[in-house]
Amino acid sequence: MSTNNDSWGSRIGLILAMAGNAVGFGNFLRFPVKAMQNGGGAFTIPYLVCFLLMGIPLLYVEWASGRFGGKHGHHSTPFILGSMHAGRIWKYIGVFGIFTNLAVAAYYCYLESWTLSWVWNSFSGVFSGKSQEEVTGVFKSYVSLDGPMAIITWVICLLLNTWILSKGLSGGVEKVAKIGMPLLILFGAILAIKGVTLKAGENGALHDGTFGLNFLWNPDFSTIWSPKVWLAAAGQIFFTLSVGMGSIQCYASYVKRKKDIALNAMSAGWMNEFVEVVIGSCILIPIGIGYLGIDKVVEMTKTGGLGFGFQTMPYLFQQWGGVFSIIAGVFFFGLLFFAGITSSLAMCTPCMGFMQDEFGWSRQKAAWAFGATILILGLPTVLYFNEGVFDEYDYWAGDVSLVIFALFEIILFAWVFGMKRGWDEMNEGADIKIPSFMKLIIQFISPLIIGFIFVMSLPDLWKNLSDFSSTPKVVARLLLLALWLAIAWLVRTAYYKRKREGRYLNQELKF
Amino acid sequence: MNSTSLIMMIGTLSIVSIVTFYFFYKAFTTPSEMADDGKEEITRPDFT
Repeated sequence: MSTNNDSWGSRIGLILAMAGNAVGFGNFLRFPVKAMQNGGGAFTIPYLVCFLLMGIPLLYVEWASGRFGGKHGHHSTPFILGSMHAGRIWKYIGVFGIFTNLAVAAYYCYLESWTLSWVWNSFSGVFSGKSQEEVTGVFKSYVSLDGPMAIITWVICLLLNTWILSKGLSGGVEKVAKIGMPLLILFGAILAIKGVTLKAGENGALHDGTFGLNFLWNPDFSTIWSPKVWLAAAGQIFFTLSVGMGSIQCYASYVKRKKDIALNAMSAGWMNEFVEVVIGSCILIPIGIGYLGIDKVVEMTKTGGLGFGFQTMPYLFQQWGGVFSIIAGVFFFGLLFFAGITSSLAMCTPCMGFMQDEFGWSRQKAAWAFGATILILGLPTVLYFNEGVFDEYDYWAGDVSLVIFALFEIILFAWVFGMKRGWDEMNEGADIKIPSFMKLIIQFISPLIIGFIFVMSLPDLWKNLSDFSSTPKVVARLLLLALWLAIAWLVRTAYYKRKREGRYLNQELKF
Repeated sequence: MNSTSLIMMIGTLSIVSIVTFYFFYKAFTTPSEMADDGKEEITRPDFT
């Protein structure tokens, strides 16, 4: 029945694709801003603690669950989770693993298209000689759809994603990761060196690059006991590692039964940390503070790093003058594009895997159907960006859904599937020894941390749910609800189809 | 840069870099054939 015969071509391709899934805009635009807002250098303590106690355990759980599901012929979370326990609820929890990817991809591809446009704008000199206000004007005009460029680039991005996906894992996704990730690191390293070696007085810089680094890393230890800081650190770990989405399970489901997941998971996870902490911290803040000073950067990044990255960085690169200002713009937005596309490709594969596994669709058909779905789902985020539809998608799919799914999946893995079986699954074919204390962390500490994050986010969730002030935002919320219900209906249909055909979710335990 | 910032920065960047390169070195030097070579058991049974 399944037409899904894809597999990874090489270990390095798998690691780079997984790292590419994790490395995204958050590494360059979100992490430095979050660190700056939450105690500077002291933020790295809760950040690394959350990475060790929540990020790494979730990586192990998702890789192990994915490979387990793959053994039973599943490549998306509804039936990956469904194959781990006979309870009917789990396949509906797994719906989040498709929902999140579809909803996030819907607005993420639009964001990705901004980077492509900004590469072109940097290259063609659109930002040349413009003041910072004028660059902001270019951005505002772009998202207000004053010209056709936003729509055209967005459609190009969708077509590019769809075309790569139609080439399969080793022929498409893996090739893009093998080209994109090294280029991303190269571009990032060049910009980081330039950022750190910035000299006061040169090309109008107010401060040395190290002045910005000093501000970013100066620890305010009084913040370390603040729950807000811990919540921000845990949120950043979720955001940066792409855990709780369902895409890691999908990629891992294509790993063969006795092949390593332990070392691969650590290589990909730590590579993401390297890009985020080492490269990500050396670009935005040192360059921003170097030219604009601390107060202005703090003020401009209050709403996050996205606006700063697209509205201010092009202006700052112009200060370098000549060819290097063009190169810097192309490199910065180029690295964001590679970070974006390797992530959006990962978001697409669970939905494709589901349609191939359950309805016998060909890879090409699944890829083009996915492209069409994203076009329809993403249209409101493009047309009503200024009305907050983009943020509404981001909140429900990119924040809430991740935490709910992660909480349930770790409970399933540690307490329902059973820690002993889970531990055996993690260690099967492992090329490294997983420390035995990880068992305790997965069983007790990680669920408690994720539960804490969920409880702490409830007031915010209620506030957003009961906000009916904007019609486009309410419609977006209803659209997302309809999407979740539609996926749940497809899962139910596929389940009964399996039952009629006598195909078990777990062929060993026969349920 | 003041010394506390410097220690925090160098400490964090060193830990992250060393661990990342350790895992990457290990992954690069440990042979693993990911592609389906046809010798493994069938992992996607067809019940139809």
